[in-house]
Amino acid sequence: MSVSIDEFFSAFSQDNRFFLHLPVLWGVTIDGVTEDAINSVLQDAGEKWNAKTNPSNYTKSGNILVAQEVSIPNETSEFTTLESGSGMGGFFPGYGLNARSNFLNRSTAVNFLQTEDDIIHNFFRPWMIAIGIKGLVEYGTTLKSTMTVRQYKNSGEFVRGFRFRKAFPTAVEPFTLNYDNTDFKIQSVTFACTNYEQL
Amino acid sequence: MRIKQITVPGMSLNGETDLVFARTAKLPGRDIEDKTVNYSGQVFHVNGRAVYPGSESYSIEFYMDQELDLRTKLEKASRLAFNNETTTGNMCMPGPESVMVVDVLALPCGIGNQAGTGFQVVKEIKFVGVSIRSIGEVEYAIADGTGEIKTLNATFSYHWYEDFS
Repeated sequence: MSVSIDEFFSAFSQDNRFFLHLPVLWGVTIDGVTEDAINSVLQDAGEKWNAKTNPSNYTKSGNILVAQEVSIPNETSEFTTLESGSGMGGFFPGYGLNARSNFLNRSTAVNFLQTEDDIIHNFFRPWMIAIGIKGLVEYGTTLKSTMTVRQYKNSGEFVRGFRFRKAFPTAVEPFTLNYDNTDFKIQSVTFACTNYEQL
Repeated sequence: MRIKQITVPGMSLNGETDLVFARTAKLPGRDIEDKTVNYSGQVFHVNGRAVYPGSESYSIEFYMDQELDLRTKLEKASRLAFNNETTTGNMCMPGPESVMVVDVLALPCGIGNQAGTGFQVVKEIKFVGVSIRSIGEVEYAIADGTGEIKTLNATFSYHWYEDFS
């Protein structure tokens, strides 16, 4: 029996399991790390950086308004071949799993618009420097956050999401200032986490 | 059709005074972008987002008043948007208070209509988030001397328009 265009047509136009939704309908939140936590680490180290805000001050209806793009990481594992020396003739080797790929090697990033009260300058850069001082140890104030990405149907209902546990920034993108008629600045912040889960 | 109101930062034009000089304008357009899905050699079309073609440059042509009052107001709004002499400007996104209102008019001409009956507003369209973009050049043809009335073109950007009438 050949494929049926009518079945496809019927499914995608009438069965909500197949309904498409616009990929621009999404939101991101970052919770759990405060200015006080960041500043306590920075002050102990004598740094002149200072966190002056946090993402909740930019968040409305479950979305950081200055977030312009979010990259969801891939899900991948590292495999190896198991070969019993030479002389296997035409037989294939076995396959083994080394580990799931760590989140430092996956791309999880959020791009933020640079506004007058800039979230990068006043939160993410100080946060990165504080992590550079304290490291990722778990004692005392936490410098790890919970990042949540939600996607929505065209009707506005939640459709799927990801929650990244113990997320922390690993890089803040540089930017260039010049006298050209450039677009508004958008900077990327790359994150890693210990694990993520399905919403 | 008439332009009834234009309110942008630094400038408010109303239909009783300044906007009587409005000579030409146009009803705006609205597009649903087309997205496609392919299956077994057939292309299916799906709704995408809504966009407003030309919303970066909605053009209105005005008659030039002799005192250049209208142009002076447009200049003020333009320099409030960004003043290159002081390198300062209003860079915030135009909000819901920055609007342009356009009326679409009809002349009642049915049975029983009396001479002198005024236009009726059949549709009111409100442009939201209006900001000035350009003030057109005016070319004087001194040698011609035909007495033709000069016009001034100005363009405005907007985010979207509302048509709920």
